Amino acid sequence: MKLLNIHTARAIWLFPLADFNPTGLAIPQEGFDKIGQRYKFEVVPTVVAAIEARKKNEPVHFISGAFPSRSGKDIVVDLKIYTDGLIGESRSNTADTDAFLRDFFDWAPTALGLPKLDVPIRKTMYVSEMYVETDQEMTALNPGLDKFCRLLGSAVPSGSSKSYELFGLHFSTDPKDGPPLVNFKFERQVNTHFSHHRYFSAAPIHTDHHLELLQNLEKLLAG
Amino acid sequence: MSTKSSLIQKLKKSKEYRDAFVASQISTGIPFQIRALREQHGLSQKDLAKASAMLQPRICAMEQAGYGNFTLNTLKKLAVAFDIGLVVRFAPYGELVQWADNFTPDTFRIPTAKDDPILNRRHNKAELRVDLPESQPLKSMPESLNKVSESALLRDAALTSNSSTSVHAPIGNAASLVGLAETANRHAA
Amino acid sequence: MFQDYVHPNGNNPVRKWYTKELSTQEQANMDALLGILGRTEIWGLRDYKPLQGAQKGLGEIRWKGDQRRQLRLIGFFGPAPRQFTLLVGCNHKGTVYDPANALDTAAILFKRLNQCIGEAREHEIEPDPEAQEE
Repeated sequence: MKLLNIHTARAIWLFPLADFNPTGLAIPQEGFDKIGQRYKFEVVPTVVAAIEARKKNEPVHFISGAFPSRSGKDIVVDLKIYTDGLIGESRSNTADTDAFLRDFFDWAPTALGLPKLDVPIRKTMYVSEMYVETDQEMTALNPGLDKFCRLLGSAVPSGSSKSYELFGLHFSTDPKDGPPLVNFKFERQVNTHFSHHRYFSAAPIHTDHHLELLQNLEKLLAG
Repeated sequence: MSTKSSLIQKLKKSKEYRDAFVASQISTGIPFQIRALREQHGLSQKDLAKASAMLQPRICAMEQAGYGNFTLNTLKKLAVAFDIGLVVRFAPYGELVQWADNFTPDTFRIPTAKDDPILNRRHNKAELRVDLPESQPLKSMPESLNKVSESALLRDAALTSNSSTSVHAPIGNAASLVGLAETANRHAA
Repeated sequence: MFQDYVHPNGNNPVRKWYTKELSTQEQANMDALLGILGRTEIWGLRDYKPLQGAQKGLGEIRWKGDQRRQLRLIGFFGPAPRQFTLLVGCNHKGTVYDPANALDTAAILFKRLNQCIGEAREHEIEPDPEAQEE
């Protein structure tokens, strides 16, 4: 399984933002600018934009900043601040995104003139998306699927016969248990010839675990 | 070994543990459920005490995992206070194991008589075949609109893409977009 | 979700406490409690209290044992996401822990784990007999 690129390494930290600012102290534009300077964000919202965003239940969104990854090189990061938590995003690794959120979480209250409080993170979640390449075929899981594809191809009235192939695998939880943040999916990259063996995968887990799972999947497909 | 297999192993080995297991479902499970129901109803311990003709310290004690003094009478009073049913019957161990294995915190939340889907279902001839829960049309797992909760953050967090979700003509074939049409199992973008 | 700290020599302090110090009923209650907490995203203060001071980073899972004694499992969230590692089991009454050095021991084991001395192994209700140490 060859990793082509990481599309998303998203970390979500849930906690009530109001706990950072229990007495509702004003955060002036300088505070936003400090955040912008620390992480060199290209787009720093204004206080006015933040107020408007809050009214519409939208986040305060800092775009295209920089943060050192585990390897020491700067990665591009985005930050969204909601009233119930933070979303950090990079194209590196969820561990790096976590480190970015941790840096912000530890630095921001003091830098913004807020009291230093011990606010517990209620929950952390992750979304990993990546493009990979593998020669293994999904129909290896069940050869009967090849037969089904042929039946499907011959059943579709389209004028010229098209051959169908298995497009993807999706895994989710029973609605009675509540849906996962995102389903696990492994599917062909759309608008790409099947012969290129390019696949897209999404999972509600850390990047490294996601890669491991995909390697396990490849082994299963290899038989 | 999975938790379920481990539990089954232990239940098979020891009658003493089987007896304790049954008791633990009550002394540990019920406190959690009382708390969940109290929160569901927006009640303080004092409110619940009043509604169930008990004292607040007793409610407090009952909400601690490991409380071993539940009586049937107490459970009936709590069911009345919450306006919900209570099931007391003998059951095979396997059923308790299955319950523990399938449990989620939502299991603890019980609709009251006012919200009970069975009690409030309007019966007509067509509907009297089988009692099925209300089903939603199978909405998409394209997670852009797949709500985990009302949180805008979680809706945003669940956005994923295969760069393909935009509708482009297939490579090498400008004529047809039919293959990329939305189907019933997808949200419109 | 739950892991036990295991010494390099294979000793598992939580399993030892579970087997030697808890009655069968208390064992079953602990198993049921961990079963519920393992599927609960947010743990309330009733069931879990973060510790401070020298034990910052650790917390205790709390429940009632036989004869009104209060039982505690001290551990921490990690090492991987959605995991909680159990370090030490003990009793608690007022401000007194039994064993008295339970908190210090937990802090030491936490430090050891961070230094990769010992490991976090999946917590089991009934250990796999093939995996058990002689």
